Parts: sequence; C-alpha cells; structure tokens
Amino acid sequence: MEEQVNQIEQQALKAISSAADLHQLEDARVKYLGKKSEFTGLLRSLGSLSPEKRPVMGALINKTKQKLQHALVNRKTVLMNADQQQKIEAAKLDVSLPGKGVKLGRLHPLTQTMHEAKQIFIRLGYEVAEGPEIELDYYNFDGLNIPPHHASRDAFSTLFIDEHLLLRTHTSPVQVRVMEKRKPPLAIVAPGRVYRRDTPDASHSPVFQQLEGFLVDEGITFGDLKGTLTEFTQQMFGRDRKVRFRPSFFPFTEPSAEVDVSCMLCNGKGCRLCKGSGWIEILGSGMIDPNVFKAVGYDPEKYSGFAFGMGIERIHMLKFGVDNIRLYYEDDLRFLEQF
Amino acid sequence: MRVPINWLKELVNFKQSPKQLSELLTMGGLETVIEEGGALEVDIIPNRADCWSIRGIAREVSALAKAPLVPARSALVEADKKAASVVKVEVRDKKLCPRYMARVIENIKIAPSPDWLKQKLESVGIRSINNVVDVTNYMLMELGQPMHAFDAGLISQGTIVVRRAEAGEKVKALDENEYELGNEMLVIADPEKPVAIAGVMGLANSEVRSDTSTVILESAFFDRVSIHKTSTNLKLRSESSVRFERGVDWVAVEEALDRGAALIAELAGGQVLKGKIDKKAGNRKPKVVTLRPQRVNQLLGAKIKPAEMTGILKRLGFGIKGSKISIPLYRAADIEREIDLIEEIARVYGYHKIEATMPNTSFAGKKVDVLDLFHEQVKTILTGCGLTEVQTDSMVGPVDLQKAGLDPDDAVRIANPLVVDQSLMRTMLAPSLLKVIQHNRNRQIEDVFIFELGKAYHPDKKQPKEKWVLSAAVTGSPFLSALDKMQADYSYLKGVLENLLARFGLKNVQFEPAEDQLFQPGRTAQLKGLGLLGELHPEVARQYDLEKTVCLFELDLDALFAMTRGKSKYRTLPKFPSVSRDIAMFVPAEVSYQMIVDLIKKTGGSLVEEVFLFDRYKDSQAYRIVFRDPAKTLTDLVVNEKHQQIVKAIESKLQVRIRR
Repeated sequence: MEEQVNQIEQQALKAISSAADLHQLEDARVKYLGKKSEFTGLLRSLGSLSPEKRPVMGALINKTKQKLQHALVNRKTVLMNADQQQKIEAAKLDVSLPGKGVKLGRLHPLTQTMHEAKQIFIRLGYEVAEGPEIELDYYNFDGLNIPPHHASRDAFSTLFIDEHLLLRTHTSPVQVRVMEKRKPPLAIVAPGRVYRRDTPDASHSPVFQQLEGFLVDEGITFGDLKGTLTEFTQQMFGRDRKVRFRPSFFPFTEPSAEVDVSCMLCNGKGCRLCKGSGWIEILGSGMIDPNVFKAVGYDPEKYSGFAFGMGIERIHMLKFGVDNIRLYYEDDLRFLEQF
Repeated sequence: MRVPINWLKELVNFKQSPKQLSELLTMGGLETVIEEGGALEVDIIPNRADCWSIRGIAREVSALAKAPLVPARSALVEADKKAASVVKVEVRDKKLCPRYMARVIENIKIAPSPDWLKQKLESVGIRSINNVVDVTNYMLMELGQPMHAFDAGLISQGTIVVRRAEAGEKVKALDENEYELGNEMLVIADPEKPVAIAGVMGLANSEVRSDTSTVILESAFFDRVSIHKTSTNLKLRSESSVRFERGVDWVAVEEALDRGAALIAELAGGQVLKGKIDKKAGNRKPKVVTLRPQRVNQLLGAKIKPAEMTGILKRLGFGIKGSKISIPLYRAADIEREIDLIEEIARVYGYHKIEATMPNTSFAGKKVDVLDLFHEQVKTILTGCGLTEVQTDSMVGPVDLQKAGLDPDDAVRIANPLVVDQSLMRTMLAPSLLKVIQHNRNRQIEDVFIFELGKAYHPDKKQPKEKWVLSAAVTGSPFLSALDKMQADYSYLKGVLENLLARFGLKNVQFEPAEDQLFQPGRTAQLKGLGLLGELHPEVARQYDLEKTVCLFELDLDALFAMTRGKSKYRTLPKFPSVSRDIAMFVPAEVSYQMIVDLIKKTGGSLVEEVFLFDRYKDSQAYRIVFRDPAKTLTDLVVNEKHQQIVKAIESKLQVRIRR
C-alpha cells in the first residue's frame, strides 16, 4: 500500500507540474484527489488495515494529500499568472492613437481678455453695468461735457441713426446713465461694443470693444486714480512693468491722463512696437469733470471721482503680438484656436 | 504740428536738447517726437487752441523748462494818410464776428519773398507765394492768428461787409472749387459780392495778384461754433478754420495785424496807412477765477505748497492777486474754472510726483451683475459642449439679411454708413454665423462648431430695442479623432441645447415641430418663447455655398435668463429604492416621442420618477419607466398595477401596438 501511495504521488505530481492550463490542472485534481480518485479509495480502504498499520498509513496518506494540494496551489498560481499575462499581451495597444470624445470649444480671445480685465476690477470691489449701443446723443456727448457743434465731437467719427440717435462711440455714456439713477459711492465697470466711422485697416475696426470704469465717492483723489490704474496695469501686464501717467485731454475728465506701460517687447529701450519711445499707451483716464457731475445732479464740491476707458482689442494685441485687428471679427478658427 | 527748433529758439531761450525738449513737452501733455530736419512733431490735443502756433509751443517750453520768452520786436511806421479814407468795414453779425480788424498798406510791389522767409515757411511745409501772402502765413504759423490780404482794388466801393451768406449763394474759393453756401455761414463781402468764406478760405475774385498795389489786411476773431459748422458742412478745412474753430487769441488779433502790416511794408516797400479799423462787440478782459490751494491738494491727493502753485501759474502767463487768478486771453478757450487751473498745476508740477494711493471707499449697496454672470456661464457651458465662441460685426448689409430670408426694412438703418455692407444693425445672429462657416469652409476647415452670444437690434419708438441673443451653428464632425465618423445633425445640436437647458434646471422645455424660412421643414423645432432649432434649409445653404448639413439654433437669451431665475432647488436624496419596468411598442410616424413620454408621465402620476427611450429600431421603440415612492418601498403589486394602466393608456389613446 505504501508503494501504491508513492506511485500515486509520483504520477499526480507529474500530472500537476505538466498541466498546461487551468483546465488540465482541474482534471488532474479530479483524477488524483477527487471523490472518485484512487487516492480517496485508498483512504476509504484504511479501515481494512490492522490497527497498528492504520495510523501509520493514515499519516502517510494525509501527508501525501497535503503535498499534492500544495503542489496544486503552486501550479495554479503559476498558471493563473501566465493566463493573466497572456490576456495582458493580447490587450496591448498603440497608446499613441488619438483619444475619443468631443473637441472642446474655446472662448473668443476678446471675451477672455475682457473677462480678465473685468475680474481685476471686480476683485477690487467694482460692479458690472451695461448700457445701450444705439444711444441718445445726450448720453454719448452732451452729458459728458461735449456740447453740440463742438470741435471735440469730431474726434469721435460717429455713425448716426438719426438726428438724436447714434451708435455709441465709447462706453462712457454708461457713466451718465448709472449716475443719473444712483448715488455715490459707486465703483462700476462697463464692458461693451462701440462704433466709429473709421475705414478698416490693421489697427482700426469700425466696431470694437471697450471697458469703461469709474469710481465716485467723497474724497477720491488723482492719487487714487494712479494707484488703481497702476494696480490694474501691473496685474494685466506683469508686476515688472513700469507705468506712467501723461497729461492729456478728454472733455469729460479734468485733469486727464493717458496711461502708458513700459514696452513689453523691448522693455523700454525703444523699438518698432513702441515707436522708439519705450512706452505703450493703454488707457485713457482722468478725474470726472465737475460738469459731468452737475449734469447728473451731484455736488462736485462734495463728490469726486475718476473714470477710465480701454480698448480690449488693443490690450489683447499687445499681450499676444497680434498684428491685425480685423482678425477678431473674421472668426477664422485657426486664429481663434490659438488662445 | 511741425515745430522747427531754430524757429522755436527765436521765441524762447531754452538750453534743453531736442530729446529733453520732446520728453518735457510729452510729459507736460503735448506728445512730441523728434522729426528729421531739426524739428519737433507736436500732437496738439483738441482743447489747446493756444498751442497751434510756434509761440504757443514756446510758452509751453517756457513754463515747463523755466526758460525766458524772447519778446517780439516790431517797428510799425504809419503814413499820414488815414486807412479809414480807403476802407470802411461794416459788421452785420456781431455774434458770429465779435472782432474785425483791418489795416491798409499802399504802394506795394508784389515780389517773391526773401530767402529767410521762404525757408521759414518751407520748414513748416508751406509753399511760398509772394511777399504779402507769405507774411500772413508767417503770422499764422508764429502767432496762430489767421490773416487774409485782399487786393483793395478788387473790393467794390472800398467797403467790407461782414454778413451771413444768402442761402444757395455760390462762390469760387482759392482752392479753385465752387461752394454753395447756407445762410448760417458767415462771409466777408463787399457791397456787390462775397470775397471770402469767413475764417475758412478767401475767394479767387479778390486775391492778391502780381499787379496789386494796395492791400487790405484782415485780422479777425470769429465764432468757434460757426466756423466749425461751416467747415464741416462745406467739407473744407484750412489752416485758418482749424484755428478759428478751436478759438484764437483776442489780443493776438491786433498784434498779428500790426506786425504783419509792418513786415509787408518792409518787404514790399509800401506805406502802412494811419490807424486801424477795429470793429468789436465790446472788449474782452481776462476772466478771474478763485483758486483754493487746499482744494488743489485735496483733489490731487498731493502736498504742493501754495507758492509752488502760483509759481507754476505765473510761468504759464496767469495773473495772480492773492487767491484771484486772472486767465490770459490766449487761454480763454480752455480755462474758465478752478478745476482747469488744478489741471494746469498738476501737469506742470508733474503727474509722476503725485503719490499713488488706493481709494478709501465703501462698498455699501454694491451688487453682482447676475446677467453678466449668466452670460459667462452660458459661454462656458457651450465651450464645454464643444462649441467655439465667435464675435461677428453687429453691422451687416442688406444682402446678408436677404440671403437668410430676412427683410432689410425690419433693421435699424445707419444714416451715414461707411459702406453698404455695414449699413444695417443685425436683426438675427444666425446669418453672421453662416458667413463664418462659409469663411472657414473656403479655407478648407470643414468641421465648424460655433456660437455667438451678442445683441440683435430692432427698431422701436424712442430708442431701438437691443436684445441679447444666443445663436449656434454646427457642421461636420465634433470629434477629436477622425476615426469617429458621426457628423453633426439636428439631434447632435439638440443634445447641446438640452445640456445647456438642463444646466439651468430647465428639464421640461418642449421641442415642437415648426416652420421657418431659414430651416428645413420636418427638421425644425420651436422652443416656446425661446426660439428655433433646426437644420439649415437647403435653399439657404445654397446661398452660402454650403453642401454639408448645417444645424443651427437661435434663442432669445433675455427670455432664457428670465426662465432660469430661481430654478435650482435642493431636494432631499431618495431614501427608498426605485423599481423599473420596460415597455416595447410599434410606434406609427404620427406619434412622437414627446407624446409617449407625456402620456406615461400623466398616467403614472407622481410615482413615475423618470421615463426614457433606451432602444429604437425602425418603428420599434422600448421605454424604461422608473417608479419611486418617496415615502416607502414600492411593492410589485402597486408597480404592476400602475404599469398596466400605462400600457392600456398607450394602447387606447395613441393607437400604438405594444410588443408582448
């Protein structure tokens, strides 16, 4: 019997180690350790042995069974690993193939720049307000201290609808509309489209976009204008930019200032972009003229404030080196997808 | 304006280099660059009428560089004969001509100007004509006072009449062109005929000729607004009109007359007759304004000493008596209030010396612009759905509207358009998007997924209506990879729209069949109160030369905004499980998906949580109904009963055959 056990062990171990896959391994298990196997038969026949031999043989059979079970588990692990490996092999792919899904859209570059500019002021506590593009001449001119037939109206080559309606030439009318309705303190930015009767070329478009802003309260100073617009310019163009304020003229501000930023291309040394001056004009600004306050019923002795306006196309052009303003309204996807 | 440095040196004694000078002027408010040929190019801002001359710039240099002005020298010798015996002046409109001065110079000989004068005029780009006209131009450029010389022999009865033109009066100006005048325009005339369009240009009939022996020299002050209107209406600008419409110097009117007369006599060898004609409506005196030094510092946020303020004003030519500041007449056009003086002080003091601060203000009452925020959200969602934002011109041409079947008469019309293609305000955005697709298609870009959020304009009583509109247009494949073959069609864009609406909590917006000239019949839906969605009508597609399927929607965004307010609400998450049942059926063409879903929801009542179509082949459709009771676990008994009611309702009310 002992011999028989050894023989089964030898055969079983051979069958286990030579099983090529999990099926063959299972077959081997059934054959050598299953309920109907020789081995099980041997176990059952233990009863017929003498009481002295019984424990000896029982121990031998159990030991062998454990050995075989151990061999089975080991072989199973080996085969499972191989099986998984095979599946992995089969599933290999070209990881460089294009992905699936819908291509994302983009926001228009002017929307992005407008958002950026607007957000800087919103973080500084400003509100957003809007006004009509087809505007009454009162709000576009008279209310902003630009009387009828005044030479300074010519600076805004205006597109008219009729005698008193026009396409607003700047976003400044929003100042008058907001101030007519509300009392200080006010801190407002007004984004929107404006129109000029300009022949289109690389730097002129009859339609373009401005962001207007103004702040009115008691005790607002020119120093506050400088601080606010320096902060804006450096957030927009970088902390390393220098900012300068140059006296200028706008009918609705007094004193008025153009805001220049040190040239981003040559860093102020002078180049083609800044026409050799080292400075680039980016904003018009000034202290709101007392006549504008009077027109909306504010007391200019009590309140003061500043206003500013900027062209969004110009800022985007400067930041990205775009050389033709017409690209913004042509909507060539090859242009739009660059931003 | 071109300012030769040598000429400037005659008027002000400065030591600065051209580079320093241009920097000084620029930071003082007159943007200046250095030009070739020893000159500066100075950009004169519109309010600085006083700077339209070399002397004006000299005054600025004097104030900014603390350099002394050089006084002008002129030796006028008058003859015994009186000017009044040769010329009489009658000003009939004193409002449009508050001051008219004239002198007479006799026995002159017209000749070319001496070289120094020729060169001087050349250096500012003026062609030399003769020794009389050149003198008037010399005074114009140096003092900013326009002058005119008439041949006295051509002035009938030696009488100058300053009057309004007669309506329709036709004249031939020195530029050889004929102009038709209006009765709001001022002319210089003699008793028979106009001899000059006042302040704008002289006429050929009275100009100085080679045989002229007596000239009447005019120096006047005309109303700014009137000159501006005349010059604008005639589309005629001149060196004179540019200066008059900004305002000339009351004092220089006389100064130019005297210096001009003396110089003509010197160069053309005649005699200046005794006396000058000076017809004026009162005398102008410098206006006096009170300056409060503490107000200056309060508004600027600066600490400028009062003595420094008065020092600056003194250098600019202002008179000072304590706090009373008198404004020189050459600054009368731009300075009349304290605030104007504050600006003068600030710019000469230097903006750079004023400390930058942040405003100390309260944010009481400030609020978020929810509409602006909504627009940004809409744009962000659509880009996430694969659409790229475009921005198109709000001005369109009649053809753009007609192509899309729209009537140009419904659009707001621009009275003075630059071109006909930009003569109307768009009434819809979709036609502009089709143009963008065409533009890109012509550049071999076949997959175009775009939207625009912008305004459409409609005529209305007082002021046109401006409405926010959202429009989208898609064509081609939306996918990253060309391996995915699906092309965008109606259902693709409907999906985008459903995503957008769902994001704002609008789950039950109905898409109903609709017809519209822009869209293909049978592939068009109307969203009540919002707008239309559909595939482009083949006829319209042909107009834009588009062959592939294009799908569009255009929505009233203001209406959508109103619908979205307060839509998002919190509901507790369900505590009990749901049960679902499927129904398969054969659906005839007249029965829509919407009809089936509506009927299931109506019949199932509050127990039906969700219904969706999960299989569809030819006329066979399969729906899944999800039942849930928020208060307890549903039993099969309840669900089966509800489900049977639904099956019966579909069979009896929709003539749909249920698959069992």
